[in-house]
Amino acid sequence: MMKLQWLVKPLCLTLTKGSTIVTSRLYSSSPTSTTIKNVTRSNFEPVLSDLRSLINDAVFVSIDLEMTGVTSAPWRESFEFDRSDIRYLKVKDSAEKFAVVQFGVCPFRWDSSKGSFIAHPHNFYIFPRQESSEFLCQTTSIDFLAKYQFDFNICIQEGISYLSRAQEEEALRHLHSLQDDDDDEFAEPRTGDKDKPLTRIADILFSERIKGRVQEWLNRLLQNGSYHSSSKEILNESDKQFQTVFFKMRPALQLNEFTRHQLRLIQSVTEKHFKELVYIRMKSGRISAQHYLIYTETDSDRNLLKKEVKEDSHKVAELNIEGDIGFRHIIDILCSEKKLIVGHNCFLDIAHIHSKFLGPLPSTVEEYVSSIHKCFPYIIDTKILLNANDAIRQKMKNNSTSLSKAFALLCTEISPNIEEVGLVFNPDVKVEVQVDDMRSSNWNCGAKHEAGYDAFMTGSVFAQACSYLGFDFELNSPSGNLKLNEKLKNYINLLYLSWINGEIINLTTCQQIAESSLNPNQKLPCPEIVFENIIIIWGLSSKVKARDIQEWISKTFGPLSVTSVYQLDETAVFVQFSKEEFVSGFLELKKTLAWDKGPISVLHPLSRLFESGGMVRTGNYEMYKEMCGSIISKVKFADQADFVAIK
Amino acid sequence: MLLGKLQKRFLCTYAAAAANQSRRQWPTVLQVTKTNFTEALQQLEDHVHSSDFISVSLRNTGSYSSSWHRLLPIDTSDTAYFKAKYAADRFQVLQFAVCPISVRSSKLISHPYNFHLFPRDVLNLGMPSYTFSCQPSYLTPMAQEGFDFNACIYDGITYLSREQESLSREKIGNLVPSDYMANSISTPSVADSIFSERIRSRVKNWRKAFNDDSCTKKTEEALIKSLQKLMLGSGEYSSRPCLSIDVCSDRQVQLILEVLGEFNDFVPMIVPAKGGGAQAVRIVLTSSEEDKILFEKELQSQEKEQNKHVRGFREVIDLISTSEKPIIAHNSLNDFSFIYSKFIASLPPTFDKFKSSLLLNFPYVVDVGHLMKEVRRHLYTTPDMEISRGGSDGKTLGLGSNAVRIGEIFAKICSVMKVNPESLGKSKDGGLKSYVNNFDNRRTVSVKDLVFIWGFKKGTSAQLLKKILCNSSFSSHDEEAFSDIRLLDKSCAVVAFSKPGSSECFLKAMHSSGGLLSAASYGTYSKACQMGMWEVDLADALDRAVMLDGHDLSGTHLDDPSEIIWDDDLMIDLDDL
Repeated sequence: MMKLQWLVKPLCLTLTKGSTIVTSRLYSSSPTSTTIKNVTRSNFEPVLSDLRSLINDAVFVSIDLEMTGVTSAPWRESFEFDRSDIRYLKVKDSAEKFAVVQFGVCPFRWDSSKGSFIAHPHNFYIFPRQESSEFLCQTTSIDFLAKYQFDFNICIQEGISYLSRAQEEEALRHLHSLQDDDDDEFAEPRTGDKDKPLTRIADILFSERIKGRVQEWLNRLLQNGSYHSSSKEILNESDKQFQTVFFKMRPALQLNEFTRHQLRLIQSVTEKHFKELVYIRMKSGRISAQHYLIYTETDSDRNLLKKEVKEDSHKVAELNIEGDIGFRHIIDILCSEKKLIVGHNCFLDIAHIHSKFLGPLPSTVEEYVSSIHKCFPYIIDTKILLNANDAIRQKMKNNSTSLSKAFALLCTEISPNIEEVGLVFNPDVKVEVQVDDMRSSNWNCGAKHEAGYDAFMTGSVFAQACSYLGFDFELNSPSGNLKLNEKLKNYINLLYLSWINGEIINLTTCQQIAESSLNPNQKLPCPEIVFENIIIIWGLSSKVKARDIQEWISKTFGPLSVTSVYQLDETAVFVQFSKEEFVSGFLELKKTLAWDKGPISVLHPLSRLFESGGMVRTGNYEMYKEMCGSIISKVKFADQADFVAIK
Repeated sequence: MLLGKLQKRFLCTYAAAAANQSRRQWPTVLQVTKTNFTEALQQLEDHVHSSDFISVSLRNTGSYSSSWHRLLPIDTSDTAYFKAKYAADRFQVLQFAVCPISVRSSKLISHPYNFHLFPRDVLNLGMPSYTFSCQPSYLTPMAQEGFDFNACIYDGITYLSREQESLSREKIGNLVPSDYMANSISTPSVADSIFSERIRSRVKNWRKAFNDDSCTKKTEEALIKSLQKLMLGSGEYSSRPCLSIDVCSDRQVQLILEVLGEFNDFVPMIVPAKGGGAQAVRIVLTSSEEDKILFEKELQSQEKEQNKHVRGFREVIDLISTSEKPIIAHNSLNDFSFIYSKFIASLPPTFDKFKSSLLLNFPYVVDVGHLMKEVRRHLYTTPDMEISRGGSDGKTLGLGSNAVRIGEIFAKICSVMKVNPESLGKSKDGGLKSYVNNFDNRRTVSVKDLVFIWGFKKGTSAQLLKKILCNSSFSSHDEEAFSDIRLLDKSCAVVAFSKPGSSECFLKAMHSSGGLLSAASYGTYSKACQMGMWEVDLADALDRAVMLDGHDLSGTHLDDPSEIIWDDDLMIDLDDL
């Protein structure tokens, strides 16, 4: 739920102030209370198979994510003048940089015999374990998680790993390209200096010793005519470093406890002196590689062996890749079941799902939307629902639409903090919670900002909202077709692209609409922003304030020349001019004032702007877009602008 | 871990000499979080002062994002520094182990501390760090060792670097006792005198009013006080009456202080403005000479508390720095890049600036890693000791025990080199002099003779590349033209030429051939590091660097006199990539 903090700071404040919800995660162990289902590596397999059928039976599935951060730099927060493409770039940056550490999944099943919903909240700890999975943490977000007692130890030690579809494809493609390679990887010495004479005394001694040992083993093997009969004797070999084993029905020496350098020497000795032995390195799973010297009788046998080994190792590698999919199985189930997904203000959540479990985020919002729509054809955002429908807004008494507030107001029967709420409605929809085999109807064992509990709250709010919209679950049961219902039609697949601006995107059509078009008597539409008339000024001295700039420009171009001046951070401002001619006029003046140090220039009101920081620079809105699209995130806007300008 | 290996080798080599010593009891490491930080700091202060040297060891959230970002054998001090800087700028220190060690009659006395750090933004200023990177491959082994991330994040000690501290002062604007020397202003203008006169009369009136005030009846007191607050900007500070005078410039501050110099019962304080400079002068009226002294002391201790709160863990760094004791680290370039960037200031753009600036703060740093190499080279050529196993390093010493190990190794090196640790840092410690503050690599190959090639299929072996190059047109004239070729990552290899000048010929031939392979001189690599082109594949980074500079790199950057080490020990193994 960190997205609240990101979208509206004051909202976050009310949210934390108004909370009397149990924040401690020390669950009581009394048998009557059901604790939330925490899922880690150790119990993932059984949970996965249970969840498959739970999702299959569900009317809808609510989700929630906890991340390690939201914005990679202060200027990447959401601003009013962010165009929709900028908005997407900011969300994209966030989803690409930060990790998801908790994933709440809560299937809601309709029990027609009881006339109530049964919710199955699951709280997954997930943690990226791929080699290339470096991620960013935002200090305040980590602190925020800590405030709500997030267990980082469980997450890092026991968190479930995952592989996105794209990563899986890439891994398999890489594997197959290795398979297709003609040159066999293990026959060639890896270091490339096979012929280099040994120089270190220790190496020479070692090589000679190995040569002797291997020759001795080989002699004994061959002396006995048939190595099968002699195997026992050889197996008695007490030396741990050379262990006689059978490898694919062939006698072999397993090499144990040698250093990498020594193995390299053994390999080169083998290649030089023992044509009948094949050096093979087998890696299986996460255990370290095993090394063998394998005896082969003929050339054809040798080739056969190499082929077999290769096929084996590919099979193992394929199994490993499959095992790495981990948490993505859950996403795959959600996709294939085409269930209605419910989230609360979930644009960022969905972007994380795309980048972590499907593949890299596309560069434009249009491509992104169509990619998401293919996987998740039905998504509902409860925040949109709460804001857009008058009946619900009335129930909410125009309170903030934060999740915990909505839950407290709408789900009075389930919500633990009724005393906080002045008004009580008749809750039309009953929700019971089932964890494993325990059921309870007033469940308060979750904690706010725990993904599993937040997902549960989101789903409960949605069920309640549906009933306010006039949807009767009793009549419609089994209500598998909720997602196609007329009453929800107006809200399905709408997500907030920007909550501040009330900008909504339709995932089905990829159209962007203003929130006011959904519900005209709600928010005043924002004044139109003309992006061509915006100039970024950075490199200012920290003493220059937005109002100074407004004053200086007004003195130069007239009082109506500036529509607004917005201070981005201490190093930069956005100036929006009322007409395009002022933009060019301003840039012209900047040029002259920077060069001309004559008396007229010095007295010019704008000269104070350009002299103030020494190196004041300007750019247009397109440059801002480039900054937002860059993978680099400098903390200060000015540094980022300089970085992009250099490129 | 490298350190463990190093220690193993070392302990084996000198086991006979130091057998008894290594059997002694390991001290338990004191784990420090914000709850016991104050006591631990006091204790540490004593231990530092009585120590002969201090070993340090850091655990970070990561070190390199892609295989070529590691320190490679081909790195010069400059490129190595750029890599260390890149890491220090992004990753976070979670554990900082400090171990003051003294040697008394050939016995080691060590007092290990392990500080848990978390960059909590207590001042709400986005400091000490807005974000930081994590590498799962670093965090997972830490978790397995029993590192408690919850303790670290919930209770870790925060800090501010020196640079950040002064920034924060400007931003939060706490009261500062005036350090302005009331040196008289050389030529007071008419405006100055008028201002001074106005201040003088205002202050006098206020003091008079206050003195009269003490005679007025109690019932009126409340009313008068609130009126005073309104009219005069007067109030109370630390239960003493005070008066605030707004100022517009530093000159006015000077003038006010000058006027106040005429009175002896006032204590002036500066109220800083948000953007730096002063916003007002607050004058506190003390009741007597003793009260004045008392108040000034109060202010001092208040400031000290405030500083402690703001600096946090940096107090430890300041303590170590001011003690001027020898500091022993294992990977000094990386560790001190982190220390500098987190606790001193942003890292300077070049290695030379970094080195000289670091020297001011830490005049005596020894890297045991370097020292070990030297010891092995000069004193003993040891046979391969890697086979022997089962040493004493498997013991669970608790977190942060690496600092103890480093100190231990260093003490042994000292005994081998016949250096008395007690006299380190004092006049004659000849034996170690040349290893102090040595962050450089040893050098053997000139970077002029190196050429980077890329554009081949990923995963091509070095041997195959060698074959390709040998058979290609531009090197066929001279079989022995290049001495070696090595992969730096899956995408790029480096070729070392044995004859001076042949690298240039090779580059020219490559550029004119227009084939799929690309080639560039060391200057391009250097540039890529310097400009922060930290692409995942080295090939992509070099492509970018070439784009930036155009193709005329063959001649321009070859005046670099640097040499690098070309050591077989440091050979890149593809298995590690």
